[in-house]
Amino acid sequence: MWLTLILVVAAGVLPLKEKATTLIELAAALQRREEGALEALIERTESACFRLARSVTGDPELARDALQESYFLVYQRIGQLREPSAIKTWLFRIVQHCCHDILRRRKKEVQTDFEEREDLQSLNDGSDLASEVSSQQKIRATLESLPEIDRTVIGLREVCSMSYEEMAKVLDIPVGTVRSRLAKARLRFIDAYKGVAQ
Amino acid sequence: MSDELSPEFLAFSEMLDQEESLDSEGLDSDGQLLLELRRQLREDTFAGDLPEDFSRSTAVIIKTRYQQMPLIAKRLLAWDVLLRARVFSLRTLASVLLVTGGAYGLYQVSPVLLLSFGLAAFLGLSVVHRLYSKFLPERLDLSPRLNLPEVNLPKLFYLLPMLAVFATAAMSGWAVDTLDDLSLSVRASGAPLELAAIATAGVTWLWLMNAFIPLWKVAFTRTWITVLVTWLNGAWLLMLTKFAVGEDYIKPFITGFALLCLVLSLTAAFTPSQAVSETEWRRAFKRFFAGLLVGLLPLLVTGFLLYQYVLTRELNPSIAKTYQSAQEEFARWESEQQSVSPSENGFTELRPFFLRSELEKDPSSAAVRENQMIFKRLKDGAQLGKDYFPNGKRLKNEPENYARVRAGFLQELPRIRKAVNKPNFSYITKEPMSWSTEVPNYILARAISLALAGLVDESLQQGDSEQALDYLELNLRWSTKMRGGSLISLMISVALRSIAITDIERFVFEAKPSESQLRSLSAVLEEVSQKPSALRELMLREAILSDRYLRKLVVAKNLRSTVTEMSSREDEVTFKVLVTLFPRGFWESERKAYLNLMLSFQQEWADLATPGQGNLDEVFEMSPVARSVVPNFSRAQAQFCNELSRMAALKTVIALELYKKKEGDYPDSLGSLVPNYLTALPIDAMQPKRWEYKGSFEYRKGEAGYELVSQSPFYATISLAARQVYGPDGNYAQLRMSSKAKS
Repeated sequence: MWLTLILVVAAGVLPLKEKATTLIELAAALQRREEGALEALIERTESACFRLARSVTGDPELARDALQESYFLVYQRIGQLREPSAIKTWLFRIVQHCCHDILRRRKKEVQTDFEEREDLQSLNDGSDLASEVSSQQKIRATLESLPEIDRTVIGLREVCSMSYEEMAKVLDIPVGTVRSRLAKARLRFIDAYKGVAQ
Repeated sequence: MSDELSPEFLAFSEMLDQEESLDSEGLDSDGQLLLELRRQLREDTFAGDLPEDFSRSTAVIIKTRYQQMPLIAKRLLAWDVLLRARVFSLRTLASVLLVTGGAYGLYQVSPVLLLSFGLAAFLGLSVVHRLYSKFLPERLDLSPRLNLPEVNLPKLFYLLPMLAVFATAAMSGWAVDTLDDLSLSVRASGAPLELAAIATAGVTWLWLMNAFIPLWKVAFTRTWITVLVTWLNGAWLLMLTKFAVGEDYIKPFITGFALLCLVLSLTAAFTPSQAVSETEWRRAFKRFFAGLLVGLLPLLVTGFLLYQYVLTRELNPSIAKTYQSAQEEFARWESEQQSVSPSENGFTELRPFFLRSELEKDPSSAAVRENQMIFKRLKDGAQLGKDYFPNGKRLKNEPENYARVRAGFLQELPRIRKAVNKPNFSYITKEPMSWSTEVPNYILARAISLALAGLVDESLQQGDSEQALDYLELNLRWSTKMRGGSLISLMISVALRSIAITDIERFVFEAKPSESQLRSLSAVLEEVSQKPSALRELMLREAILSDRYLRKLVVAKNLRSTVTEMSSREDEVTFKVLVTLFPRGFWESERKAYLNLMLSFQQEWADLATPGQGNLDEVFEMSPVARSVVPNFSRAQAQFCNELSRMAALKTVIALELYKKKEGDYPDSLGSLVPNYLTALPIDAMQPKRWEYKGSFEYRKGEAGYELVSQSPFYATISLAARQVYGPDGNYAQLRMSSKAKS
């Protein structure tokens, strides 16, 4: 209790920091609740976070919701971030958790068996429409057909360009597991894509 | 889809990640597909759209949501941060250990130091940390995590309010910790009060901080309010500190707090006020009151649970039975006391002199004046005892003054003799030890004992053994008459008896009494001896009397006046405050706790085994309530046993003298005295055993006489040597030698 009081009192007269420029500085600025720090942080990270959320949830609306929830958590718990330099992995970890929560909460898990999906079945029936489906749409449909964990590792790697070590921190698993989980996800993607293309 | 992963594909996957700028030309179709996936994901071609103002609108939504969060949730979040920081930061951990160690050290020296000089340490540490933090990386600055005021004012203003909250929380914990000093129920419940005190202090701290911080935020935007809040908190702190450290140490604190308030006021004066809208003020007050109310709930719940756990006591089933029978026995005893007719009651004769209430009646009345004169003559008689007491020095008293006192006492002696010779000497003790009730004046009773002892001494010096024996027997009988219904009367009676029996050995060894005189003395000793069961009977009466006292508190409509009427301690302010503050339910619980505690000792009263064990001294010390109703039992029990032991020893001494007169010498063992001189071997009640296992005195025949020895660790309880020796070679001989040496 004493220490808390000491810290509280001692913290009182610290000067506000200059305008932050890097992501780490932005995190530190947000910890100090500086004006505009939240807006700047969102602006700096929204694109990557949205693409990650989009790839995990498979739905732009859900991705936007997940993002808003993620940034709210960031604002609430930025104090828990003891190392502002870890903001990147910390942020993506929150996004990943929020995506997971939002999918679970809304019971709208993206179906893993694309065989049951009408749009993909239509791609699979060899009709004219199927032949007109662009490669881009095929890839998107295939990715969305994968399990959530596959979409997450692929998203972290390809959207966020994360190293294995960073992914391991985000997912809280060993690096070796990241390596094999990513390879498996890719393999399943290829298999699924080929299934789609056939 | 395949879940099998070949080593080749794993290597291929890694290769893709190691070389970011791969040329798809050199890859197979799988590789090209994965590169296409990477390209599309990175080029944002299928990410969908985010609104242009996403960052701004999201930030607004987030801040609004955060503002709408309950304050307590924010505080918990902040504490969560702190807890994590403490766990994961070695530096913080070290600081906590340092401060905790320092606080513990201070506590060991003195809790007062912890509370008083601890505050000074707190200030010092704050400054050190403040200086230190300038050289620390910003991540150690925890202020934003606590969501402290965002207004741009020197946060030094928070120092005094926070200290005040800290001190208030500490005092609340202290108040809980001292509950067992105020209540028999709490003490008897064995509630973990130290833990409860820490929890209470913590909850109070959180509660007050949570309630006050929103108010401080707006308060410190105005100069004059800042100054007002500063001085108010300074005064509050000073009051608490004064309570904690007492008058003797308060001066440095007065100076310190005054200086601090002055510095803060000056700082506030040079800090411009800030514009705060009425809405913000309203919101702050709303949060303040909401915080107070919400925080009050857990405290009320805790209080309710404590009440349920501690203050809703019932009588134990075994105690309930004892209580029932003790009540019936008390009713019988009381009825017997009240049914004694005035013609048989020795106390009736002495009533006007022995009851303070009688003496305090209209002093102009001739009858009262007469009573007061008799009272004075009896009381002055004590001077006889003081002048002639064997262990004392003869006072430089003027002969004519002594003669006057002696004549006055002898003039009133027939009243004493008449009262003592009446078969009953009863009175009703309605309450334990209260001047306003029908309790005899023990000071006067002691004065009479002393006067009689003086007359015994005088007769012995004049060699008049018949007269000495007469006064001695009268004094022994007198000492018995004061024994009433309460423990305090027992203790007074023991004191009177002690005066009376001091002269018995002297009479036996110096007055050269005849066989008939010795037999007469032995018969009187037998007549006035107490039964061992007397203590239990008396203690049960004492319990019922005290229970009456507490019952009266429970049912009294006007508690304060009842206490004034009943309390024997006019200066017991705390008790009066308690009576006024605490509800009847509390007193009812106290009553039952008292009975549970008191009656649980009944077997020990019957055993007379271990004076000092199972005693109520601790209870006696604990609270004003306890002090008012619980007697000093261990001492009373030791005195009772000592009296039994002394009486038995003196009866044995007389039997030994009779044996010598008949047989020409003392016997080789005490067994020879039975049955011609004693009906049974005397029992030394001071032995630390249950009554049925107590044995007789150690007896050693010497060349000139003998020693009758009683050894017990429990003599220490009544400040006597552990080895008491009776007989011509014992304490008596030493006493005589000492007396002769003095003269």
